[in-house]
Amino acid sequence: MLNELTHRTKAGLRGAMTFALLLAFVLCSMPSAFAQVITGTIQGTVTSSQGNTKLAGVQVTAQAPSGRYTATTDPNGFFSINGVTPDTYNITFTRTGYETFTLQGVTVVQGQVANATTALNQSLQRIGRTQSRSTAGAFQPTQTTDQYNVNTQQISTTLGKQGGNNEANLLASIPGASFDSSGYPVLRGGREYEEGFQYEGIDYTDAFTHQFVNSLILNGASNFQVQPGAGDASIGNAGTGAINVVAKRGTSPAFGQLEANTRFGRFSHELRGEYGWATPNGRYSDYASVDFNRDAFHYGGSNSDALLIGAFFGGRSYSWANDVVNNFVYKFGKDNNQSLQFFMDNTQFDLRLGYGVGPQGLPYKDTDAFSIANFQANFNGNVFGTGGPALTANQIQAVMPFTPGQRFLGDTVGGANNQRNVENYNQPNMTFKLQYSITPSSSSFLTAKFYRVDSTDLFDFPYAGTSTVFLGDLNSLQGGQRTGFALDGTQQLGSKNLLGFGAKYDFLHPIYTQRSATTALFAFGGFGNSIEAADFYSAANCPAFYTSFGVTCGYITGYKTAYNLSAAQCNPTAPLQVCPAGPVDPVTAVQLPYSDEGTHTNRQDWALYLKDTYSPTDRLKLDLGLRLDGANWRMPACTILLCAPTGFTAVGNAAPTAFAFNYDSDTRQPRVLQPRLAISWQATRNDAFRFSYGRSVQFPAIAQVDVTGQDAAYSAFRNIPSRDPLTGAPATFCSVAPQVGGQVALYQAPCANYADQLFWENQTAVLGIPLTPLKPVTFNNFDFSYSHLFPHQVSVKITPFYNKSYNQIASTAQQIVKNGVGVVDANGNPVLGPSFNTNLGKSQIMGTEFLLTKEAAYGLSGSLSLTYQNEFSNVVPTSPSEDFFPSIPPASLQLGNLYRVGYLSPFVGALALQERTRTGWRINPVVYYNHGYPYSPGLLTANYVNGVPYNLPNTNVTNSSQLGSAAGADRYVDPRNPGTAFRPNIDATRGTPDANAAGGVLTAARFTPVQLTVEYQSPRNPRAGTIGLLMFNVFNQLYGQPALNSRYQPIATGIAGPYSGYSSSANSVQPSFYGIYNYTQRQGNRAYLLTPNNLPRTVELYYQVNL
Amino acid sequence: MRVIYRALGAAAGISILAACTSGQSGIQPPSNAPNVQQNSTLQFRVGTVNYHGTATYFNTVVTFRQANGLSATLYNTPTITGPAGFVVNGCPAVSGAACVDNGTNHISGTPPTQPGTAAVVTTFAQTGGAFSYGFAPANSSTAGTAYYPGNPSGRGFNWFGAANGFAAALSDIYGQPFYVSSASKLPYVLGPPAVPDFHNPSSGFPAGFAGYDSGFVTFAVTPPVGTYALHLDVPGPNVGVNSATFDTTAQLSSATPLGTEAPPVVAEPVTPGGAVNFTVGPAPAGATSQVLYVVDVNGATGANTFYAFNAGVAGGTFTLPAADFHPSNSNPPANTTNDTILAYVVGADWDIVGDAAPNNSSPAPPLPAQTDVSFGLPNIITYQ
Repeated sequence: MLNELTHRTKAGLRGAMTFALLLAFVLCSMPSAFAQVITGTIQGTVTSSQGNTKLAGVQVTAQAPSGRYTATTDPNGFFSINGVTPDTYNITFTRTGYETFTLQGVTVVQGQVANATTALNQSLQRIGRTQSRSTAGAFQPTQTTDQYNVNTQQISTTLGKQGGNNEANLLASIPGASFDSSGYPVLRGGREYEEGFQYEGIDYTDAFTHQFVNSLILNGASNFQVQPGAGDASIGNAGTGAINVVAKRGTSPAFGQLEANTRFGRFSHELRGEYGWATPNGRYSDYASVDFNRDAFHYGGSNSDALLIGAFFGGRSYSWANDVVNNFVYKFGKDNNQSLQFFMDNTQFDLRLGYGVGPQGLPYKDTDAFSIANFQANFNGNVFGTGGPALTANQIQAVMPFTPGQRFLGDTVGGANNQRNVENYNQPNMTFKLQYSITPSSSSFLTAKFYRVDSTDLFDFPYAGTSTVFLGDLNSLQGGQRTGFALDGTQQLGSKNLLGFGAKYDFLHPIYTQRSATTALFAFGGFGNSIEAADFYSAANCPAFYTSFGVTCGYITGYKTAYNLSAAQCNPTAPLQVCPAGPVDPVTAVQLPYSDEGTHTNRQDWALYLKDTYSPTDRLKLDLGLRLDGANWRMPACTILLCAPTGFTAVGNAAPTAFAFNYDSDTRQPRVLQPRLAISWQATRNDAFRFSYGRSVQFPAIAQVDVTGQDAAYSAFRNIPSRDPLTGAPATFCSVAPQVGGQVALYQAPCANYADQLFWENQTAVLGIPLTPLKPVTFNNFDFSYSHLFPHQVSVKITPFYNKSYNQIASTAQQIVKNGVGVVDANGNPVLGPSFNTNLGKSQIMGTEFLLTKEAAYGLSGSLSLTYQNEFSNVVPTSPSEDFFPSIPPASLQLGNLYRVGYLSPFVGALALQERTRTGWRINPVVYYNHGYPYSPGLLTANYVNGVPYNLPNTNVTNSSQLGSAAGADRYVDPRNPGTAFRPNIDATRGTPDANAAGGVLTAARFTPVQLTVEYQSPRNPRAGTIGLLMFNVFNQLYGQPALNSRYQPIATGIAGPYSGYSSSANSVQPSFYGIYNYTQRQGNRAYLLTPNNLPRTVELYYQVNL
Repeated sequence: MRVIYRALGAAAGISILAACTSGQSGIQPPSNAPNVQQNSTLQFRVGTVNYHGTATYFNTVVTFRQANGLSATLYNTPTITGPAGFVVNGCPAVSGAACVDNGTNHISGTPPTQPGTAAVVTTFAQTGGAFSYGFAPANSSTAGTAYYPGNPSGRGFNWFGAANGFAAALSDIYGQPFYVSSASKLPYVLGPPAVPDFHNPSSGFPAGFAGYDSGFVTFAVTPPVGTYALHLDVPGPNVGVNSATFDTTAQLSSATPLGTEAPPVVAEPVTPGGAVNFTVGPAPAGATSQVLYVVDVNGATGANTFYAFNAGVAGGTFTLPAADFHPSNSNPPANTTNDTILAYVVGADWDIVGDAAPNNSSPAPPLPAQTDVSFGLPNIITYQ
C-alpha cells in the first residue's frame, strides 16, 4: 500500500517536479539575495499617518553592530531587505516632508521575515511610537512554520550564564525537543539519527551515523533555532525536525568577553573567551570564540564496590574539550553588497576512562591469566563441546594478534609507555565553510558556499570487556567527511511574494574501521564456518585441541616465507614462535589478522527547493514550497554474495540457484518529493494562528546500510589459495549463504583466495549480512498553533502536532522462503533468516507543545516550555538499542503490534527564570521536569506457537524472541511445572510493577536537573566584570533511568539471587579492575539497574570580564 | 553483529561533558517481596529403595511449595543429614576435586559462592534444590532459563540407560539413583496418560518439555533407621546472606524395603507400526501404587518422548497407540522405525501420580510417614 502510494505520487508529480527544477535553475542565474538558512529579511510598508497613504521613496536604513543595510520604498510604500545578518537593528525611515522616524530593536533571525511596517508623520506632528517585538517570545504572529528562536539572552537564562555551552540542555528547554532515555536530544519523538543539525548552514552530522559531530558544545552561537516538524522547503534530510545555529559575527564597536571558572564537587575548570570586531566601514569583520574545558570526576572513591555505586563503565575519567570558532567576513563592492565569509570550527574532545588507575599495572589480556582462562573455557565449551583438550596459554598467545599499539607480549598497553588509558575516546571535528554572497539590490540575495565537515571518532578500548572473552579489545574509527556546496537565493517579487530557492550537493565519505585482536580469535577460532586458527600453527606444533577434531595445521606457516607475511604477524616474544630476522622456514606460528569491520559505501546527496512566501495582507502569510531530496548510493551491487536474501530457488540438493531480494530501485537512487505548506494569520493585535503541513525525509545512515569487513585487513593473504582446515579443500562459504539458515548453507560460494576466506569468516562470525539497502524514511508532519500576547511582554503559544513515519528503519528477521514456500522447523515454526535492517518500521506521534515567555530587561523574565508526546511504534520498546538499532521480532511484526515507544518521556518541561535587579544582581534558577520514562518489559510478548504468532504472557520461557534472551522478562515460570505459553505457571516475579505492553509503566516523575545561578555585575562599573556562582544539579541526582537487569537471578518474588549482575557463567568475573572493586560484575543485583551517568552536584565560580 | 560505537560515545563519552547532564535521572522502581518464610510449606519424607531386588538404597520425597502448589522458590541449597551409620559414598569428583559428601552423613548442595572463587564439590552442587515435588537440578541462574525437564537450552544433558542397552539424554533432570554410574541410571518422568498430554505442539508447552517430576530422588546409600534432617538455605541478593532458611526432619522407622518390582512385559506390535501393549503385574508387597514409565527413543533423532501410566496396585495391560510413538505428533506421522521403546515400573507406598503436578496444587500433598519405592528393571524393544 505504501509502495503504491509512493509510486503514484512520484508519477503524478513528475511534471510539476520538472517544472520546479527548471525554475529553480533559472532563478539561480538571476541576481538575487538572501541565504536561506543563516540570514533573514526585513520588510514592511511605509504609510503616512494622515490618510494612510502609502509612501514611495522613503529611505530605509537598517543599522546594527554587525551590518548596515539600505532600501527605498516602491510606489506602494513597500520595501524589502534580504540577506540580513541576524542581529538587532534600528531602522530609520527618512523622507522629505516627514519626520524621520527610527524603529528600534527589530531583531532578525535566520530564515525569518522581520516586519517593519510603520507610519510616518508629517513634520511637527507626533504620534505614538511603534514598538517592535522580540523574535524570541512565544507570540510570533507572522511565523508560518513551527519554530522556536532562542537569542543570546535566553541562552544565558537557560544555561545559567553568558557563554554556557551545554547545547543538550538548551535543546531540552525548547518545546518539541526532549531527551531520549539515554540522554540524547531528539525532536518530536524522532530517533537519534532522525533529525537535522546545522551550524552556519552546514550539516553538522557525521557521514557514517548521522549523529551530531560537535559533542553538543555550544560555542559562538548568536541565535539558536529549533524547527520541529518539516519546516519550510529549505530544510531537508532532517527527519522529525531541524536545529539551526548561526554564529556570531564581528561588529563595530568591538565586543568581547573572557571567563575563567573553576568547579567544586569534581575537579574541573574552564577558560572561555570571545572577541568580535569590524572596521568602521564594515568591510572586515572577525569573530573568534574559544572554549577550553578540563574535567575529571568519578563516582565513588578508588576501589569502590561497583555493585554499590552502580558504575559499570569505569572508575575515574578525565576529559578535555577545546572548541575554537572563527568567523571572518570580508565585504566589498558597491555599498558592501558582496561578501566572502570563511567560517571555521575546530573541536577536539578527548575522554579517558580509567584515568590515573588501571592500565599501568595491567598487562594486555594475552598474558592475563584470567583472560586466558576465559578463552580456554569458552573455546573448550562453546566451540567443540565439553571434554576436548583446550588450547594452552602459550598456544593462545602464539596466534592472537597484538592489540594496536602493543609492542610485545606482556606489554602494558597504556600508562607511561604511550600515555594510553584503559579506554580512550577522541572526537575531533574540523569544519569550514567558504561562502560568497551578493546583494545586487535590496530585494534580492544569493549565496554560494562550499563546506566540509571532517569528523572521525576514535574508540580505543584496549582493555574493554574484561569479563567476556569476545570483543575484549577494540580500536575503531567512525565518522568520515561530508563535503558539499550549496546555492541559496531569495527574490522579492512585488510586495506580496518572496521567492526562495536553492540547491545543494553533498558527498559523504564515511570512515569505519573496527579492529579487535581478541575478536580475531573468536572469528577465526571456530565460531564461524571453519577453524582458520589451526592454519596459523605449524604442523609440528599443532595443538591437540585441533588434531582431536581431525584438523591439520601448518597451512599458513608454510607460506610465511614465500608470501612474506608482515613482521607484525610474527610474534618473536610468544613462547611458541620462532621468528628470526632471516627467512627461516618453517616458523612455528604466526599471528592471526585482526577481525576488522568496515564500510564500502559513499553517498551523494542532492536537493532542490523552491518556495514562495505570499503575503496578501500584513496579517496573512502563506508559505508554499516544494523540495526534492535525492541520494545516489555508491555501494557495492546487491548480489547473491552480499545482500540479505528473503527467498531462494533451489535445485535438487537444496543448493540455491538464485536469491530473491526485497529491494527495489528506491534504495539505490531514491528521490523524495516533499510538498510544504504553512499559513499564519494574525487574527487580532494579540492573537495569531498558524498551520503547517510538510513531508520530510531522512536518508538512512550509511552505518545502517553497509557494514562490510575491511578487504585490506587480509590483503597479506591474497596470494594464498583458499583452504578450509576442516575439509582440506578450498572453502565454499564466501557469501551470505551460511548465515541464512541450514537449507541455504549448502550454497556453494568458492572463496577466491585465503584473504577472501578470512574476510567472509569474519563477516559470518562477527558482522552479519554485509549490505542491507534501505529506502529513505519519510514523515508527514501536521501542526497547528495558537499564540497570544498578554500585557507585560508575556506571551504563550500552544501547538498540537501529529507526525507519521513511513519506511522507518528497523531490523527484523524474515521467514526463509524456498521455491515460494515458507520453510518451517519441526515445531511448525518459521525458519528465520538472519536479522537485518529493513524499512518495515513505522511510528506515529501526536502531542502538544507549549511555550510561555516573559521578556524584560529587569525584573522577572524567562520561559516555561512543556511538551506532551504520545508516540507509538512497531519496535518493541525498552530494549537498550531501541533508539539507535530498533528491531522488531518477526512474530510481533506479523501480529501488527504497536507499542508506546520506550525512549521518550510522555511529558517533559523546562522552567528557566531570571530575576535581574537594577542594583546588579541576577538570580537564575532553571528546573527540568520529566514525567518518567517507560521501563517495564511488559506482561505480553509476541512469539510463535506451532507456527502461529500470538501475543503471549511474557515469561522467561516465551520472551526469548522478544528481547533477544530469556533474561528479558520479569516473570518466571515454575521450572518443574511451567504450564503452557498461553497459561504459564508464574512461580515468581521481580516484584516490580508491569503493564501489558512493554514500556507500559513509567518511572517516577522527576525534577531534574535543577540549577541555580547567582551573579553580580556592578551597574556603575560594568567593565569591572561579572562574578557568579552557578550550582549545577542542586539535588545531586546522579542516576539515570532504571534499565531491566538482564543478569537477574530470580529466587522468589521480589528477591534477587546472589549471582544477579554476573554473567550466567558466574565464574567469568575478575574481582578487581579499573581501581574499582567488582568492576567486572558490571551490573547491580536488583531487578533494575541504576547507573550514575549525570554530573554530580557542582558549584562553579566564574568571573567574566567584558573586553 | 553491527557494533556501532557512536552510540556508545553518545551514552558514555559525549555524555560526560554534556548529554549526561540531561533530565532523565531515575530511581529504582518499587518492589514487592512476599515473605517466603511464611508463605512456603516444606514436607520431607525418607524411605527405602528396593533396587531391582539387588540392594536397598535411600529414598527421599520433598515437597516445597507455595500456597498455589508451585515451587516455593527458584533457588535453594539443601542439606540432608542422616543418623549415625548413614555414610555417603560414590559422590563423584569434578575436575579432580573430591566430593565433600563422601564419608560423611550428609548429602549436600553447594551454597552460592563469590564468583571467581572455587566452589566445593557436593552431591547437588549449586544447581540442585528442593522444588514442588522432589529435588531437581533446577536452581535458577542469571540466564533466566526455566530449567524444566527436557529444556533444549538447559544445563547439559544427562545420559541414561547405557547399561540397559539404550541411551537416552535429557537435560535438567536427575537420573537415579545417585552414586551409581550414569549408564545404570534411569529418568523417572511422568508423561501422558498419567498426566494431561503435553505433546501436541499447539498446546504451547515449552520446547522440549519432557514431563513432570515423580517426587522421589534416590541415593545409592544404605539407609539406617533414625531421624533424617533437611535444611534449606534460600539465598538473598548477597553471597552468604540468606533470605530464608527451612528445617524439618523425617523418620525412617523401618529399613525393610518394599517387595521387588517385576519388569513389565512389552508386547511387540502384532503388525509392524501397530500399537504397543505393556503388562504390569500386581504391586509388590507393601506398595500401594505403581507407575509404569515408558520412554520412546526416536531411532532417527535420539529424541525422547516420555509416557507414564498410573498402574495402581493391581497392575494390568496398558496400550500406547502407534501414533503416540511420534514425538511431535506430526502429521503425517514421522518415520519411527527402529525407535527404542523402554518400559520400567516403580512401586511405592504413596500415590506418586496423585501428588504430582499439574493436577495436585496442594501446598502440602498427602504423604505417608515413610516413603518407600521399589525400582523394577527395564524392558526394551526395538519398535518395528
